[in-house]
Amino acid sequence: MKLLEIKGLSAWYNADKKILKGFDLELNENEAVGLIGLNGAGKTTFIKVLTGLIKGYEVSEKSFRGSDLKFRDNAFKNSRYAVFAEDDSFKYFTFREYLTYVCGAYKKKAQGVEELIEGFHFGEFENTLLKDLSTGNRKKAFLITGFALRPELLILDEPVNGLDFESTEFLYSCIAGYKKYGTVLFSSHILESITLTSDRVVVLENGVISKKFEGEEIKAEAIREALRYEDVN
Amino acid sequence: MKMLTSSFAKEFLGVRYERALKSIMISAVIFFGVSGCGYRLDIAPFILYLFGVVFTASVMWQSLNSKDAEERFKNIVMMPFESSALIASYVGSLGVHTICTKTLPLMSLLIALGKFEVTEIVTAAAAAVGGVLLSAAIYLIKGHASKPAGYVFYDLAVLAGKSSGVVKSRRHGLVWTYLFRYLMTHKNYLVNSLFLCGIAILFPYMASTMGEELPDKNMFLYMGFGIACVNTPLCVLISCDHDLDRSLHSMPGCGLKFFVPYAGFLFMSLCPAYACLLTSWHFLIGGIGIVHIIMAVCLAFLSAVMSAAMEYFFPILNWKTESDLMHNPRKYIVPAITLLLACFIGTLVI
Repeated sequence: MKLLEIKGLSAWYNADKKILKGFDLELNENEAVGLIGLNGAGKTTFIKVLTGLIKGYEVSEKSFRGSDLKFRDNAFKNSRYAVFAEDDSFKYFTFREYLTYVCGAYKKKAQGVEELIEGFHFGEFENTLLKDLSTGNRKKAFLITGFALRPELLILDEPVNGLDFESTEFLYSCIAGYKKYGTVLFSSHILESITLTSDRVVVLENGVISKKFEGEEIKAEAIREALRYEDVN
Repeated sequence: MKMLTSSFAKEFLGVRYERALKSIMISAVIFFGVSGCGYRLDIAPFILYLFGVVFTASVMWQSLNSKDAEERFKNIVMMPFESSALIASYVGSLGVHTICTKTLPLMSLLIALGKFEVTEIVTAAAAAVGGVLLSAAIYLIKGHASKPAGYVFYDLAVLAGKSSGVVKSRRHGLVWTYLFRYLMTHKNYLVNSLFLCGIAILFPYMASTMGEELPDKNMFLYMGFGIACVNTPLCVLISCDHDLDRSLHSMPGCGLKFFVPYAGFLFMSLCPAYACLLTSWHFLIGGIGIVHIIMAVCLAFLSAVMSAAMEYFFPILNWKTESDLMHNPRKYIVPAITLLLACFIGTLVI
Protein backbone atom coordinates (compact mmCIF):
# COMPACT_ATOMS: atom_id res chain seq x y z
CA MET A 1 0.00 0.00 0.00
CA LYS A 2 1.20 3.50 -0.82
CA LEU A 3 2.40 5.57 2.09
CA LEU A 4 3.46 8.73 0.30
CA GLU A 5 3.05 9.96 -3.24
CA ILE A 6 4.58 13.09 -4.70
CA LYS A 7 4.32 14.17 -8.32
CA GLY A 8 5.82 17.12 -10.17
CA LEU A 9 7.69 18.61 -7.24
CA SER A 10 9.82 21.65 -7.96
CA ALA A 11 11.72 23.36 -5.16
CA TRP A 12 14.06 26.32 -4.93
CA TYR A 13 15.93 28.53 -2.51
CA ASN A 14 16.08 31.36 -5.06
CA ALA A 15 13.15 31.51 -7.45
CA ASP A 16 15.47 31.82 -10.46
CA LYS A 17 17.29 28.55 -9.75
CA LYS A 18 15.24 25.43 -9.21
CA ILE A 19 16.93 22.59 -7.35
CA LEU A 20 14.15 20.03 -7.83
CA LYS A 21 12.53 20.09 -11.26
CA GLY A 22 9.46 17.91 -11.58
CA PHE A 23 10.49 15.32 -9.00
CA ASP A 24 8.20 12.25 -8.64
CA LEU A 25 8.43 9.73 -5.81
CA GLU A 26 6.24 7.05 -4.34
CA LEU A 27 6.95 5.37 -1.03
CA ASN A 28 5.19 2.19 0.02
CA GLU A 29 4.49 1.07 3.54
CA ASN A 30 7.22 -0.88 5.29
CA GLU A 31 10.05 -0.52 2.85
CA ALA A 32 13.53 0.96 2.82
CA VAL A 33 14.20 3.38 -0.02
CA GLY A 34 17.66 4.71 -0.76
CA LEU A 35 18.14 8.08 -2.41
CA ILE A 36 21.46 8.47 -4.15
CA GLY A 37 22.94 11.20 -6.29
CA LEU A 38 25.98 13.37 -6.75
CA ASN A 39 26.55 16.51 -4.70
CA GLY A 40 23.98 19.15 -5.55
CA ALA A 41 21.54 16.65 -7.07
CA GLY A 42 18.81 17.76 -4.65
CA LYS A 43 18.72 14.98 -2.02
CA THR A 44 18.86 17.25 1.00
CA THR A 45 16.53 19.75 -0.65
CA PHE A 46 13.92 17.03 -1.08
CA ILE A 47 14.30 16.06 2.59
CA LYS A 48 13.92 19.69 3.57
CA VAL A 49 10.71 19.94 1.54
CA LEU A 50 9.38 16.78 3.21
CA THR A 51 10.16 18.21 6.63
CA GLY A 52 8.43 21.49 5.82
CA LEU A 53 11.59 23.58 5.95
CA ILE A 54 11.42 25.06 2.46
CA LYS A 55 8.77 27.56 1.51
CA GLY A 56 9.75 27.77 -2.15
CA TYR A 57 8.17 24.76 -3.80
CA GLU A 58 5.29 23.73 -6.03
CA VAL A 59 3.84 20.29 -6.52
CA SER A 60 1.12 18.96 -8.77
CA GLU A 61 0.05 16.03 -6.55
CA LYS A 62 0.92 14.96 -3.05
CA SER A 63 -0.71 12.51 -0.69
CA PHE A 64 0.06 10.63 2.49
CA ARG A 65 -1.92 7.45 3.13
CA GLY A 66 -4.26 8.51 0.33
CA SER A 67 -5.14 11.86 1.93
CA ASP A 68 -3.95 15.28 0.87
CA LEU A 69 -0.50 15.93 2.27
CA LYS A 70 0.54 19.20 3.86
CA PHE A 71 4.21 19.19 4.76
CA ARG A 72 3.77 21.56 7.69
CA ASP A 73 0.65 19.95 9.14
CA ASN A 74 1.03 18.48 12.60
CA ALA A 75 -0.74 15.31 11.40
CA PHE A 76 2.08 14.66 8.91
CA LYS A 77 4.77 15.90 11.27
CA ASN A 78 3.54 13.33 13.82
CA SER A 79 4.04 10.58 11.25
CA ARG A 80 7.65 11.31 10.41
CA TYR A 81 10.94 12.06 12.08
CA ALA A 82 14.05 13.31 10.29
CA VAL A 83 17.70 12.85 11.17
CA PHE A 84 19.64 15.57 9.40
CA ALA A 85 23.14 15.19 8.00
CA GLU A 86 24.45 17.78 10.43
CA ASP A 87 22.51 18.74 13.49
CA ASP A 88 23.66 20.93 16.32
CA SER A 89 20.23 21.61 17.77
CA PHE A 90 19.14 21.23 21.39
CA LYS A 91 22.76 21.34 22.43
CA TYR A 92 22.00 22.04 26.08
CA PHE A 93 19.99 18.81 26.42
CA THR A 94 21.51 15.45 27.25
CA PHE A 95 20.49 12.57 24.99
CA ARG A 96 18.02 11.33 27.63
CA GLU A 97 16.49 14.77 27.98
CA TYR A 98 16.28 15.17 24.22
CA LEU A 99 14.59 11.78 23.88
CA THR A 100 12.07 12.67 26.59
CA TYR A 101 11.43 16.02 24.94
CA VAL A 102 10.91 14.49 21.48
CA CYS A 103 8.65 11.74 22.85
CA GLY A 104 6.59 14.48 24.49
CA ALA A 105 6.40 16.41 21.22
CA TYR A 106 5.33 13.31 19.27
CA LYS A 107 3.16 12.04 22.16
CA LYS A 108 4.82 8.64 21.78
CA LYS A 109 6.76 6.26 23.97
CA ALA A 110 10.31 5.42 22.93
CA GLN A 111 10.84 1.72 22.31
CA GLY A 112 13.91 -0.47 22.24
CA VAL A 113 16.11 2.36 23.51
CA GLU A 114 18.45 0.18 25.55
CA GLU A 115 19.16 -2.14 22.60
CA LEU A 116 19.82 0.84 20.36
CA ILE A 117 22.15 2.43 22.92
CA GLU A 118 24.04 -0.82 23.24
CA GLY A 119 24.20 -1.36 19.48
CA PHE A 120 25.54 2.12 18.85
CA HIS A 121 27.94 1.89 21.84
CA PHE A 122 26.41 5.02 23.24
CA GLY A 123 26.00 4.00 26.90
CA GLU A 124 28.60 6.28 28.41
CA PHE A 125 27.31 9.37 26.60
CA GLU A 126 23.60 9.25 27.32
CA ASN A 127 23.84 11.81 30.12
CA THR A 128 26.32 14.11 28.43
CA LEU A 129 25.13 17.40 26.96
CA LEU A 130 24.74 17.13 23.18
CA LYS A 131 27.06 20.11 22.70
CA ASP A 132 29.88 18.15 24.31
CA LEU A 133 29.49 15.08 22.08
CA SER A 134 31.64 14.43 19.03
CA THR A 135 29.98 14.70 15.59
CA GLY A 136 29.59 10.92 15.40
CA ASN A 137 28.11 10.56 18.86
CA ARG A 138 25.72 13.44 18.25
CA LYS A 139 24.60 11.67 15.08
CA LYS A 140 24.05 8.50 17.13
CA ALA A 141 21.87 10.43 19.60
CA PHE A 142 19.55 11.56 16.79
CA LEU A 143 19.58 8.14 15.09
CA ILE A 144 18.68 6.34 18.32
CA THR A 145 15.86 8.85 18.87
CA GLY A 146 14.56 8.26 15.34
CA PHE A 147 14.61 4.48 15.56
CA ALA A 148 13.19 4.46 19.10
CA LEU A 149 10.34 6.75 18.12
CA ARG A 150 9.28 4.36 15.36
CA PRO A 151 7.47 6.87 13.14
CA GLU A 152 5.62 5.68 10.07
CA LEU A 153 8.19 7.46 7.93
CA LEU A 154 11.76 7.74 9.12
CA ILE A 155 13.88 10.12 7.06
CA LEU A 156 17.65 9.88 7.29
CA ASP A 157 19.89 12.36 5.52
CA GLU A 158 23.39 10.94 5.09
CA PRO A 159 23.03 8.72 8.18
CA VAL A 160 26.42 7.04 7.74
CA ASN A 161 28.45 10.26 7.88
CA GLY A 162 30.52 10.49 11.03
CA LEU A 163 29.78 6.96 12.27
CA ASP A 164 32.51 4.48 13.14
CA PHE A 165 32.72 1.06 11.49
CA GLU A 166 30.81 -0.86 14.18
CA SER A 167 28.05 1.71 14.44
CA THR A 168 27.71 1.77 10.64
CA GLU A 169 27.18 -1.99 10.63
CA PHE A 170 24.60 -1.64 13.38
CA LEU A 171 22.90 1.18 11.48
CA TYR A 172 22.54 -1.08 8.44
CA SER A 173 20.82 -3.71 10.56
CA CYS A 174 18.54 -1.04 12.05
CA ILE A 175 17.53 0.22 8.61
CA ALA A 176 16.97 -3.28 7.30
CA GLY A 177 14.97 -4.21 10.42
CA TYR A 178 12.91 -1.04 10.49
CA LYS A 179 10.53 -2.38 7.85
CA LYS A 180 8.64 -4.10 10.69
CA TYR A 181 7.63 -0.68 12.00
CA GLY A 182 7.47 1.63 9.02
CA THR A 183 9.22 3.08 5.98
CA VAL A 184 12.75 4.42 5.87
CA LEU A 185 13.81 6.96 3.29
CA PHE A 186 17.49 7.70 3.42
CA SER A 187 20.00 9.56 1.33
CA SER A 188 23.58 8.45 1.11
CA HIS A 189 26.79 8.81 -0.82
CA ILE A 190 27.95 5.40 0.32
CA LEU A 191 26.93 2.77 -2.21
CA GLU A 192 27.34 -0.04 0.29
CA SER A 193 24.79 1.49 2.64
CA ILE A 194 22.27 1.59 -0.19
CA THR A 195 22.90 -1.87 -1.62
CA LEU A 196 22.89 -3.60 1.75
CA THR A 197 19.68 -2.14 3.08
CA SER A 198 17.37 -0.83 0.36
CA ASP A 199 14.35 -2.45 -1.24
CA ARG A 200 14.38 0.29 -3.81
CA VAL A 201 17.00 2.78 -4.94
CA VAL A 202 16.28 6.03 -6.73
CA VAL A 203 19.03 7.96 -8.46
CA LEU A 204 18.57 11.69 -8.31
CA GLU A 205 20.11 13.74 -11.10
CA ASN A 206 19.79 17.50 -11.50
CA GLY A 207 16.58 17.64 -9.52
CA VAL A 208 14.75 14.72 -11.18
CA ILE A 209 14.81 10.98 -10.69
CA SER A 210 16.88 9.61 -13.52
CA LYS A 211 16.90 5.90 -12.66
CA LYS A 212 15.28 3.42 -10.29
CA PHE A 213 16.49 0.04 -9.07
CA GLU A 214 14.43 -2.58 -7.34
CA GLY A 215 15.06 -5.98 -5.72
CA GLU A 216 17.62 -7.95 -7.69
CA GLU A 217 18.57 -4.92 -9.77
CA ILE A 218 20.18 -3.28 -6.75
CA LYS A 219 23.81 -3.96 -7.39
CA ALA A 220 26.69 -1.64 -6.63
CA GLU A 221 28.07 -1.89 -10.15
CA ALA A 222 24.77 -0.94 -11.79
CA ILE A 223 24.25 2.03 -9.50
CA ARG A 224 27.86 3.14 -9.92
CA GLU A 225 27.33 2.99 -13.67
CA ALA A 226 24.19 5.13 -13.38
CA LEU A 227 26.06 7.70 -11.31
CA ARG A 228 28.97 7.68 -13.72
CA TYR A 229 26.57 8.28 -16.59
CA GLU A 230 25.10 11.14 -14.58
CA ASP A 231 28.58 12.59 -14.09
CA VAL A 232 29.23 12.50 -17.84
CA ASN A 233 25.96 14.32 -18.54
CA MET B 1 49.84 40.06 5.99
CA LYS B 2 48.06 41.95 3.20
CA MET B 3 46.35 38.78 2.02
CA LEU B 4 45.34 37.85 5.57
CA THR B 5 43.90 41.29 6.27
CA SER B 6 42.05 41.23 2.97
CA SER B 7 40.51 37.81 3.64
CA PHE B 8 39.39 38.78 7.16
CA ALA B 9 38.08 42.16 5.97
CA LYS B 10 36.10 40.59 3.12
CA GLU B 11 34.64 38.06 5.53
CA PHE B 12 33.46 40.82 7.87
CA LEU B 13 32.61 43.59 5.44
CA GLY B 14 31.57 41.74 2.29
CA VAL B 15 33.49 40.87 -0.87
CA ARG B 16 33.38 44.47 -2.13
CA TYR B 17 33.29 45.99 1.35
CA GLU B 18 29.65 46.77 0.64
CA ARG B 19 28.63 46.48 4.28
CA ALA B 20 31.07 49.24 5.26
CA LEU B 21 29.81 51.49 2.45
CA LYS B 22 26.20 50.80 3.42
CA SER B 23 26.94 51.67 7.03
CA ILE B 24 28.76 54.88 6.07
CA MET B 25 25.79 55.91 3.93
CA ILE B 26 23.35 55.18 6.76
CA SER B 27 25.52 57.24 9.11
CA ALA B 28 25.56 60.12 6.62
CA VAL B 29 21.76 59.99 6.32
CA ILE B 30 21.44 59.99 10.13
CA PHE B 31 23.89 62.87 10.48
CA PHE B 32 22.39 65.12 7.81
CA GLY B 33 18.80 64.12 8.70
CA VAL B 34 19.17 64.93 12.39
CA SER B 35 21.30 68.07 11.93
CA GLY B 36 18.78 69.28 9.32
CA CYS B 37 16.03 69.13 11.96
CA GLY B 38 17.88 71.78 13.91
CA TYR B 39 17.30 70.07 17.27
CA ARG B 40 20.38 70.37 19.49
CA LEU B 41 21.33 69.05 22.93
CA ASP B 42 24.14 70.09 25.24
CA ILE B 43 26.38 67.04 25.21
CA ALA B 44 29.76 67.31 26.89
CA PRO B 45 32.67 66.14 24.70
CA PHE B 46 33.55 63.73 27.50
CA ILE B 47 30.29 61.83 26.82
CA LEU B 48 31.29 61.46 23.17
CA TYR B 49 34.74 60.16 24.12
CA LEU B 50 33.28 57.82 26.74
CA PHE B 51 30.78 56.51 24.23
CA GLY B 52 33.57 55.97 21.69
CA VAL B 53 35.63 53.89 24.09
CA VAL B 54 32.98 51.99 26.06
CA PHE B 55 30.58 51.18 23.24
CA THR B 56 33.28 50.17 20.77
CA ALA B 57 35.15 48.15 23.38
CA SER B 58 32.02 46.27 24.45
CA VAL B 59 30.97 45.41 20.87
CA MET B 60 34.54 44.37 20.07
CA TRP B 61 34.65 42.23 23.20
CA GLN B 62 31.42 40.54 22.20
CA SER B 63 32.79 39.81 18.71
CA LEU B 64 36.07 38.45 20.04
CA ASN B 65 34.21 36.12 22.36
CA SER B 66 31.65 34.90 19.83
CA LYS B 67 31.76 31.23 18.99
CA ASP B 68 31.11 31.79 15.29
CA ALA B 69 34.63 33.18 14.90
CA GLU B 70 36.07 29.81 15.78
CA GLU B 71 33.95 28.01 13.19
CA ARG B 72 34.42 30.51 10.40
CA PHE B 73 38.13 30.99 10.69
CA LYS B 74 39.35 27.53 11.48
CA ASN B 75 40.72 27.08 7.98
CA ILE B 76 42.78 30.24 8.20
CA VAL B 77 43.84 29.49 11.73
CA MET B 78 45.17 26.01 10.94
CA MET B 79 47.56 27.41 8.33
CA PRO B 80 51.12 28.30 9.33
CA PHE B 81 50.75 32.07 9.43
CA GLU B 82 52.90 34.11 11.73
CA SER B 83 51.11 34.68 15.04
CA SER B 84 51.63 38.45 15.22
CA ALA B 85 50.47 38.91 11.61
CA LEU B 86 47.39 36.80 12.23
CA ILE B 87 46.46 38.70 15.39
CA ALA B 88 47.08 42.11 13.81
CA SER B 89 45.02 41.28 10.70
CA TYR B 90 42.17 39.79 12.70
CA VAL B 91 42.02 42.59 15.27
CA GLY B 92 42.40 45.24 12.54
CA SER B 93 39.62 43.83 10.36
CA LEU B 94 37.28 43.17 13.25
CA GLY B 95 38.01 46.65 14.60
CA VAL B 96 37.18 48.31 11.28
CA HIS B 97 33.99 46.24 11.10
CA THR B 98 33.02 47.23 14.65
CA ILE B 99 33.71 50.95 14.16
CA CYS B 100 32.15 51.16 10.70
CA THR B 101 28.99 49.14 11.26
CA LYS B 102 28.30 49.65 14.97
CA THR B 103 29.98 52.76 16.38
CA LEU B 104 29.75 55.09 13.39
CA PRO B 105 25.92 55.20 13.02
CA LEU B 106 25.39 55.95 16.71
CA MET B 107 28.30 58.36 16.91
CA SER B 108 26.98 60.27 13.89
CA LEU B 109 23.68 60.64 15.76
CA LEU B 110 25.48 62.03 18.83
CA ILE B 111 27.58 64.37 16.71
CA ALA B 112 24.48 65.60 14.87
CA LEU B 113 22.67 66.24 18.15
CA GLY B 114 25.57 67.97 19.92
CA LYS B 115 27.77 70.93 19.08
CA PHE B 116 31.28 69.59 18.67
CA GLU B 117 34.53 70.98 17.33
CA VAL B 118 36.44 69.05 14.67
CA THR B 119 39.20 68.27 17.17
CA GLU B 120 36.62 66.77 19.55
CA ILE B 121 35.22 64.57 16.79
CA VAL B 122 38.73 63.41 15.85
CA THR B 123 39.42 62.66 19.54
CA ALA B 124 36.17 60.64 19.73
CA ALA B 125 37.23 58.65 16.65
CA ALA B 126 40.59 58.00 18.31
CA ALA B 127 38.72 56.92 21.45
CA ALA B 128 36.80 54.38 19.36
CA VAL B 129 40.06 52.99 17.97
CA GLY B 130 41.30 52.90 21.56
CA GLY B 131 38.22 50.87 22.51
CA VAL B 132 39.09 48.30 19.83
CA LEU B 133 42.67 48.02 21.03
CA LEU B 134 41.63 47.91 24.68
CA SER B 135 39.31 44.93 24.15
CA ALA B 136 41.85 43.12 22.00
CA ALA B 137 44.59 43.69 24.57
CA ILE B 138 42.46 42.47 27.50
CA TYR B 139 41.37 39.47 25.47
CA LEU B 140 44.94 38.50 24.67
CA ILE B 141 46.28 39.16 28.16
CA LYS B 142 43.42 37.21 29.70
CA GLY B 143 44.99 33.82 29.15
CA HIS B 144 45.65 33.82 25.43
CA ALA B 145 48.86 35.81 25.08
CA SER B 146 51.25 32.95 25.65
CA LYS B 147 49.67 30.76 22.98
CA PRO B 148 49.92 30.81 19.20
CA ALA B 149 47.31 33.15 17.77
CA GLY B 150 45.45 30.31 16.15
CA TYR B 151 44.55 28.81 19.46
CA VAL B 152 42.88 32.03 20.55
CA PHE B 153 39.83 30.94 18.59
CA TYR B 154 39.98 27.30 19.53
CA ASP B 155 40.17 28.25 23.18
CA LEU B 156 36.68 29.63 22.96
CA ALA B 157 35.27 26.22 22.24
CA VAL B 158 37.30 24.63 25.00
CA LEU B 159 36.20 27.25 27.52
CA ALA B 160 32.57 26.87 26.53
CA GLY B 161 32.67 23.12 27.07
CA LYS B 162 34.71 23.10 30.28
CA SER B 163 31.89 23.36 32.75
CA SER B 164 29.71 20.64 31.27
CA GLY B 165 30.59 16.96 31.50
CA VAL B 166 28.00 14.42 32.58
CA VAL B 167 24.75 15.74 33.97
CA LYS B 168 21.69 14.08 35.41
CA SER B 169 18.52 13.95 33.35
CA ARG B 170 15.32 15.53 34.57
CA ARG B 171 11.98 14.55 33.25
CA HIS B 172 10.11 17.74 34.04
CA GLY B 173 10.72 21.33 33.04
CA LEU B 174 13.10 20.19 30.32
CA VAL B 175 12.97 23.41 28.35
CA TRP B 176 13.51 25.45 31.51
CA THR B 177 16.60 23.35 32.22
CA TYR B 178 17.73 23.92 28.64
CA LEU B 179 17.27 27.68 28.89
CA PHE B 180 18.94 27.87 32.27
CA ARG B 181 21.96 25.98 30.89
CA TYR B 182 22.03 28.35 27.91
CA LEU B 183 22.26 31.28 30.31
CA MET B 184 24.83 29.62 32.55
CA THR B 185 27.02 28.61 29.60
CA HIS B 186 27.11 32.18 28.34
CA LYS B 187 28.20 34.05 31.45
CA ASN B 188 28.40 37.28 29.45
CA TYR B 189 24.63 37.04 28.86
CA LEU B 190 24.18 36.85 32.61
CA VAL B 191 26.41 39.91 33.02
CA ASN B 192 24.36 41.67 30.34
CA SER B 193 21.16 40.97 32.33
CA LEU B 194 22.80 42.40 35.47
CA PHE B 195 23.95 45.40 33.43
CA LEU B 196 20.33 46.00 32.43
CA CYS B 197 19.37 45.97 36.10
CA GLY B 198 22.10 48.57 36.68
CA ILE B 199 20.67 50.77 33.94
CA ALA B 200 17.21 50.32 35.43
CA ILE B 201 18.54 51.55 38.80
CA LEU B 202 20.30 54.58 37.25
CA PHE B 203 17.42 55.58 35.02
CA PRO B 204 15.28 57.25 37.75
CA TYR B 205 18.37 59.23 38.76
CA MET B 206 18.49 60.66 35.24
CA ALA B 207 14.79 61.41 35.47
CA SER B 208 15.27 63.24 38.77
CA THR B 209 17.99 65.45 37.26
CA MET B 210 16.59 66.01 33.77
CA GLY B 211 12.92 65.34 34.22
CA GLU B 212 12.00 68.96 34.90
CA GLU B 213 12.72 69.78 31.27
CA LEU B 214 10.01 67.34 30.24
CA PRO B 215 6.31 68.12 30.61
CA ASP B 216 5.58 64.63 32.00
CA LYS B 217 8.13 63.01 34.29
CA ASN B 218 6.31 59.68 34.01
CA MET B 219 7.53 59.61 30.43
CA PHE B 220 10.91 58.63 31.84
CA LEU B 221 9.33 55.71 33.66
CA TYR B 222 7.73 54.51 30.43
CA MET B 223 11.04 54.89 28.64
CA GLY B 224 12.59 52.84 31.42
CA PHE B 225 10.05 50.06 30.78
CA GLY B 226 11.07 50.11 27.13
CA ILE B 227 14.82 50.13 27.77
CA ALA B 228 14.75 47.46 30.49
CA CYS B 229 13.41 44.91 28.04
CA VAL B 230 16.30 45.25 25.56
CA ASN B 231 17.88 41.98 26.70
CA THR B 232 19.16 41.04 23.26
CA PRO B 233 21.21 37.89 24.02
CA LEU B 234 18.24 36.17 25.63
CA CYS B 235 15.88 37.33 22.89
CA VAL B 236 17.89 35.74 20.04
CA LEU B 237 17.98 32.17 21.31
CA ILE B 238 16.54 30.71 18.10
CA SER B 239 18.15 33.21 15.72
CA CYS B 240 21.62 32.32 16.97
CA ASP B 241 21.01 28.59 16.50
CA HIS B 242 19.91 27.68 12.96
CA ASP B 243 19.75 23.98 13.78
CA LEU B 244 17.45 24.63 16.71
CA ASP B 245 15.20 26.70 14.46
CA ARG B 246 15.13 23.82 11.94
CA SER B 247 14.30 21.25 14.61
CA LEU B 248 11.58 23.36 16.20
CA HIS B 249 9.89 23.83 12.85
CA SER B 250 10.26 20.25 11.67
CA MET B 251 8.92 18.47 14.76
CA PRO B 252 5.26 18.39 15.77
CA GLY B 253 4.07 20.21 18.86
CA CYS B 254 7.48 21.74 19.39
CA GLY B 255 6.23 25.25 18.87
CA LEU B 256 4.04 25.41 21.95
CA LYS B 257 6.26 23.11 23.99
CA PHE B 258 9.20 25.44 23.45
CA PHE B 259 7.42 28.75 23.04
CA VAL B 260 5.59 28.78 26.39
CA PRO B 261 8.63 28.03 28.60
CA TYR B 262 10.75 30.39 26.51
CA ALA B 263 8.26 33.23 26.98
CA GLY B 264 8.15 32.34 30.70
CA PHE B 265 11.94 32.39 30.88
CA LEU B 266 12.07 35.81 29.22
CA PHE B 267 9.40 37.08 31.60
CA MET B 268 11.40 35.86 34.60
CA SER B 269 14.54 37.51 33.24
CA LEU B 270 12.74 40.83 32.67
CA CYS B 271 11.17 40.94 36.13
CA PRO B 272 14.41 41.77 38.05
CA ALA B 273 15.14 44.72 35.73
CA TYR B 274 11.59 46.05 36.11
CA ALA B 275 11.76 45.53 39.89
CA CYS B 276 15.04 47.50 39.99
CA LEU B 277 13.46 50.29 37.95
CA LEU B 278 10.39 50.58 40.17
CA THR B 279 12.35 50.33 43.44
CA SER B 280 14.89 52.92 42.36
CA TRP B 281 12.11 55.18 41.09
CA HIS B 282 10.24 54.86 44.37
CA PHE B 283 13.26 55.88 46.47
CA LEU B 284 14.48 58.68 44.20
CA ILE B 285 11.23 60.16 42.91
CA GLY B 286 8.44 58.38 44.77
CA GLY B 287 4.84 57.73 43.88
CA ILE B 288 5.09 54.07 42.89
CA GLY B 289 1.86 52.31 43.77
CA ILE B 290 0.12 49.04 43.06
CA VAL B 291 -1.00 50.36 39.65
CA HIS B 292 2.63 50.79 38.59
CA ILE B 293 3.52 47.30 39.79
CA ILE B 294 0.61 45.72 37.90
CA MET B 295 1.53 47.77 34.86
CA ALA B 296 5.15 46.60 35.06
CA VAL B 297 4.13 42.95 35.38
CA CYS B 298 1.75 43.25 32.42
CA LEU B 299 4.38 45.00 30.29
CA ALA B 300 7.06 42.45 31.21
CA PHE B 301 4.65 39.67 30.30
CA LEU B 302 3.65 41.23 26.97
CA SER B 303 7.24 42.05 26.14
CA ALA B 304 8.32 38.46 26.88
CA VAL B 305 5.51 37.00 24.74
CA MET B 306 6.26 39.39 21.88
CA SER B 307 10.00 38.63 22.01
CA ALA B 308 9.39 34.86 22.07
CA ALA B 309 6.89 35.13 19.20
CA MET B 310 9.30 37.27 17.21
CA GLU B 311 11.99 34.64 17.68
CA TYR B 312 9.77 31.71 16.80
CA PHE B 313 8.02 33.22 13.80
CA PHE B 314 10.61 35.69 12.50
CA PRO B 315 14.06 34.52 13.54
CA ILE B 316 17.00 36.47 12.13
CA LEU B 317 18.80 33.94 9.95
CA ASN B 318 20.88 36.05 7.57
CA TRP B 319 23.50 37.32 10.02
CA LYS B 320 27.21 37.15 9.30
CA THR B 321 28.80 37.70 12.68
CA GLU B 322 27.31 37.28 16.14
CA SER B 323 27.77 41.01 16.60
CA ASP B 324 25.44 41.64 13.63
CA LEU B 325 22.84 39.46 15.26
CA MET B 326 23.14 41.26 18.60
CA HIS B 327 22.83 44.66 16.91
CA ASN B 328 20.11 43.84 14.40
CA PRO B 329 17.52 46.66 14.39
CA ARG B 330 14.81 44.07 15.13
CA LYS B 331 15.81 44.23 18.77
CA TYR B 332 14.22 47.67 19.07
CA ILE B 333 10.79 46.58 17.85
CA VAL B 334 9.60 45.00 21.11
CA PRO B 335 11.00 47.82 23.31
CA ALA B 336 9.34 50.38 21.02
CA ILE B 337 5.99 48.58 21.27
CA THR B 338 6.47 48.24 25.04
CA LEU B 339 7.17 51.97 25.28
CA LEU B 340 4.04 52.80 23.27
CA LEU B 341 1.96 50.41 25.37
CA ALA B 342 3.37 51.94 28.55
CA CYS B 343 2.47 55.43 27.32
CA PHE B 344 -1.00 54.27 26.33
CA ILE B 345 -1.69 52.42 29.60
CA GLY B 346 -0.06 55.25 31.57
CA THR B 347 -2.33 57.91 30.10
CA LEU B 348 -5.35 55.74 30.86
CA VAL B 349 -4.64 54.73 34.45
CA ILE B 350 -2.00 57.07 35.95
